[in-house]
Amino acid sequence: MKKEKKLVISFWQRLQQKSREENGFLLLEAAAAATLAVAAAALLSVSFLRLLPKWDYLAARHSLEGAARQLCTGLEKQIGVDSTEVYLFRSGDFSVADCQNVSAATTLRFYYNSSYNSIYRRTEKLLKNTAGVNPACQEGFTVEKWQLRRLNDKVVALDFTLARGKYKASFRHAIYCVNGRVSGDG
Amino acid sequence: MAEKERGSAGPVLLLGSLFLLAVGQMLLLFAQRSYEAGLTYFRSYQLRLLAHSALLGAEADEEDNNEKRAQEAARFVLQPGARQAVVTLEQEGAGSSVVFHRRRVRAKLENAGAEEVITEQLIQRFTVNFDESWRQLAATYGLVCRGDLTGAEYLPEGTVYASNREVSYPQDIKDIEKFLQDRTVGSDLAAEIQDSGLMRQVYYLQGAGSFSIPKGQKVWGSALIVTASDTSLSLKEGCEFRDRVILLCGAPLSIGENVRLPQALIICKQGITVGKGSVINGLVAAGGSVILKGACQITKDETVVAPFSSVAFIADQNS
Repeated sequence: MKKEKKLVISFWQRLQQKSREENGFLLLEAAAAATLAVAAAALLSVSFLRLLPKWDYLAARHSLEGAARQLCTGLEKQIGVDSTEVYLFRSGDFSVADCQNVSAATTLRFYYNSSYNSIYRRTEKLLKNTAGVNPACQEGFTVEKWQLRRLNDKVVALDFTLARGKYKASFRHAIYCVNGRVSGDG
Repeated sequence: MAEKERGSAGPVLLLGSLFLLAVGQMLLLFAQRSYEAGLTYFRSYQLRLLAHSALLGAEADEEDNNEKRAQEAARFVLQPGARQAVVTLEQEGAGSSVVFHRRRVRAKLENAGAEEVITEQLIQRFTVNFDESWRQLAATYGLVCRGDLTGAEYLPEGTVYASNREVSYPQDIKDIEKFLQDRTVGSDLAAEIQDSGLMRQVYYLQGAGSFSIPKGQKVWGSALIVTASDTSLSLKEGCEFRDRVILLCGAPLSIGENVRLPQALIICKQGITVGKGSVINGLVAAGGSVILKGACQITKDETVVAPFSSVAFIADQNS
């Protein structure tokens, strides 16, 4: 071990001596550094290329989480706080929720729209005899599963799958109805 | 150059390295700042979720008559960073006949210092309970007045009513007025009735003059409508209420012809006029006289004095 150490030290001393005596040694150093840099860049790019699909997945997952959060927040407000009665039923493979709003002459329906593969909200104002349809889910996302279940008189369990491109994620959420009662089952 | 000035490339390389180092440091600083901002937002979201969850949990407990969880401070560990968060719950509920429930949840980070994020959520509900004397009155009569009753002959045979009876404007109603006067009630009743119906809440009408519900208006939803002593209320001809309504009037009340009130508790400090063809099911109590202008129907219904609870409102406050 001591012998090896001596060898390394003498090699280093000789290199220093050489750099003092010989022109162009700096160029050699620069070339060696550049070679190292290229090698490091190659290694990094390989790692980066490996990470890229994961990054793509992470970004998609992040946007799916955001869309799910936005959908759940909206439903919590409209079903959990603004509804006095919530009636759940099934239409095909998807659940439908009919809600009586705290404004007595307003009803809401949350349903799956097969043309857009998304969840839509239909608002009906009985006094004005008008109705409007709005998406409940963010644009660019599709809904693959949509189930609303009655857990008890006050709680609706929401189970859905959102997809964006080749990525999808399933979510579960419970909505407590502060002002309303839940009936039926989806 | 290397032959004449040995080592002259050294400063250039050094400067280049320093530049790269500075850029690297700046990127690192930017990443750290972004991470901290993201984390603050995320913490605030976590606290909001915790507060909301505790609030709804307390509501559910009340529904199940389980008050064990109330008033307890709960501790949670938030990730990333294993930060301690404390959630406290306070509740108020004052009065016997007029109960104003207010439940407040506060969620904050423990030992937060400068990065303190506090989330508060409030849930408010207003309940009016009518005392036993009102229940007895509603179980016996459809119409009660302190002053004279004019037009008693228009009432169908068998209608039970009492005139010249001592009808005192009850204390609980004074409490409601007092409660409402301290607060701003921002809703526009007329617009609400025409647009989407009543919202199962308390509407307080005040300001000199009169307020009327338009002719032929169909009124959906239940509500407690209170008018101040300087505001008279008029239900115009053909008005039709669909649900339970409680009218507490400080000034005279005028009910037009063919008005339908299928479940109404009407308590008026002053006189009431009822038009021909009106149908009222419930209890009409006047502190002044009652004038019936033609054949009308007033039937008793004791369910109208059941407690009235407004819908609950949730308010979110962040700091």
